[in-house]
Order: sequence, then C-alpha cells, then structure tokens
Amino acid sequence: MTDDRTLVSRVLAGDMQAFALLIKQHERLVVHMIGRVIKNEEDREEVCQDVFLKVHGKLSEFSFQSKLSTWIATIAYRQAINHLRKRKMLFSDIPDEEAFTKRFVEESNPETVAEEKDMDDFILKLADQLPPQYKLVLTLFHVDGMHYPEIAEVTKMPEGTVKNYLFRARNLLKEKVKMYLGKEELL
Amino acid sequence: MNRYEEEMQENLEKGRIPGGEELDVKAYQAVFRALKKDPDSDLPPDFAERVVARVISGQKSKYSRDYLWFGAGILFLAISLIGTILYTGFKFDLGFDLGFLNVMSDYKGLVAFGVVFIALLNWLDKKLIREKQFDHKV
Repeated sequence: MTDDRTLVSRVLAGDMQAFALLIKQHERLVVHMIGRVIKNEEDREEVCQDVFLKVHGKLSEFSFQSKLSTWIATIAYRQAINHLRKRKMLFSDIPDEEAFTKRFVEESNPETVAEEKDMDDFILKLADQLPPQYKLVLTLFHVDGMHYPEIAEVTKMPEGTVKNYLFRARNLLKEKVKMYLGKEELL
Repeated sequence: MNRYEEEMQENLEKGRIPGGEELDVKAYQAVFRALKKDPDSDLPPDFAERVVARVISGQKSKYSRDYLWFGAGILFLAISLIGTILYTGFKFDLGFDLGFLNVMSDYKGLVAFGVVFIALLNWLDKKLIREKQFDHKV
C-alpha cells in the first residue's frame, strides 16, 4: 500500500491513477458514513462522489496534521450534514431526551424482529431510526474503529459530547433489545 | 444515563464481559455485535473511475472558462485602446521619441531599486505568507 505522503504528492502532481488509488483506499470509510444517513442509492453515490471531488479540490490544503483518513472523514461528515440540511432534515436539533427515549423504546413494535433475518438486522434497523448525529458517531466508533479524539476531530464536537451521544445511542438500542428479549423469555 | 449503564458500556468497549443484570448484559452484547457489522451500502465497482472522469471533465471546462476570460480580457483591452485613440484623437509619431522613458532615463538607480523591491516583495509573499497559510489549513 502506498503511504499517504507519497500518494498525496502524486495526486497533487496530477497523477489520476494515484487519485483513483486514494479513492479505493477510502471509499469504504466514506460510504459507511454517508450510507448511514442517506438511504437512497442514487443520492448516496452522488454525495460520495461529491466528497471525493472536494477531497481532490482541497488536497493542496492538507498539511498532514491529522491522518488522511480523518481529514477525508471530516469532509464526508460535512457533506452528509449539508445533504440533510438541503433536504430540510434538522441536523442540529437532538430530540428532547425524555420524550425521544419514551417514543423510541416504548412506541414502536418489537415484533418486527420476526420479519428480520436475525437479531443483528433488527438492531441495525433500529439504529436507522436514531438521530443522524447518533448514527454517525456509532458508525465511526464501531465500523471504522475510530477513538473518541478522532471522532471529535471529524465531527468538531467536544469529546464529552461524542461520548454522550455514543453512550446514549447504545443505551436506547439496548433498552429496545431488552424489551424484546424480555418478551421472548416469557414465551 | 446512570453509572451502572456507563460501566457496562465501558467494559464492552474494552472487550470485557460486564457485570450486571443478565438481560442487560445480553442486550448490550447483542447491540455491540450488531453495530460492528458493515452497513449494507456498497458503491459500484467502477466508482473511482467515475469520480476521476468527473474531475477530468471539471478541469477541462475550467480550462475552457479560463481561455474564455483570457480572450474576453484581450478583446476588452483592444476595444478600450481603439476607443481611447478615437476619443482623444491621438496620433502615432513614428519618430523615436520615447516620451516618459526619456524622463526616466535620468533616474536609472530609482528604476533598478523599483524592480528589485517588487521582486523582493513577491519573494517574501511566496516564502512567508503563502507557506504559512497552507501550514495552518488542515
């Protein structure tokens, strides 16, 4: 695998093969982030393309003060937020904790698990119903293996907020799963 | 969220089996296992090539735009020159009267200083200001 510095300097010199390699090395990270908040396949691909166009346009400004993947994730995060804002989906507002927890845990129907292939799919479907901020931090932590400081850098949120979102999101999912497991044990 | 929940999550993050109510442990383990799965959102196999094609077409249209502006600039300059000549009734004198340059030839030192000073300013701008700008950007 070509190291980041060599790859970046080749792209800046106009080497398009190097840029294709950079995309291949980071497309998984980008599609994980974008895919969590954009479910429409066409929109998802277009936003992912826009992320890499932005990466190409701004690469001369990248100064290796962070990992290249973190920098690309930052651009993907912004692009995801912009897409949600364009679609008039409120991104900045996290729903009121008590009301959202009540609605999330109690109101939806845990029997839908029977329609899913397994428990994992059921949980991922539940995760899709969480606010976008929660989904993005969950993805960065669990799928992309980033730590709190890195997630804080990508999202420009304080580390405490990242931790809070992550813990709260997992707690909501756990409560829902617990409800289902409790019912299953009674049967 | 209480300390009990936090401790359970912290233990699971470290790969340890947390202590606590059995149903809570089971539920958290299921959540952590599921969240590790790759989201079901793949890109087409030729995704990288498509992006590269978009970059190339973007560059081509940028070059065309640049040439268009360049041509428009030259045209504007020519029109202004013709307009000025017509307006002022300027007549070309093909003798070798260099006008302003004749006056400046008495100040060779000043002209040389001006050239060196402008070159120095450009060099300092490139060295100190632009490099610093790039260093501060992520």
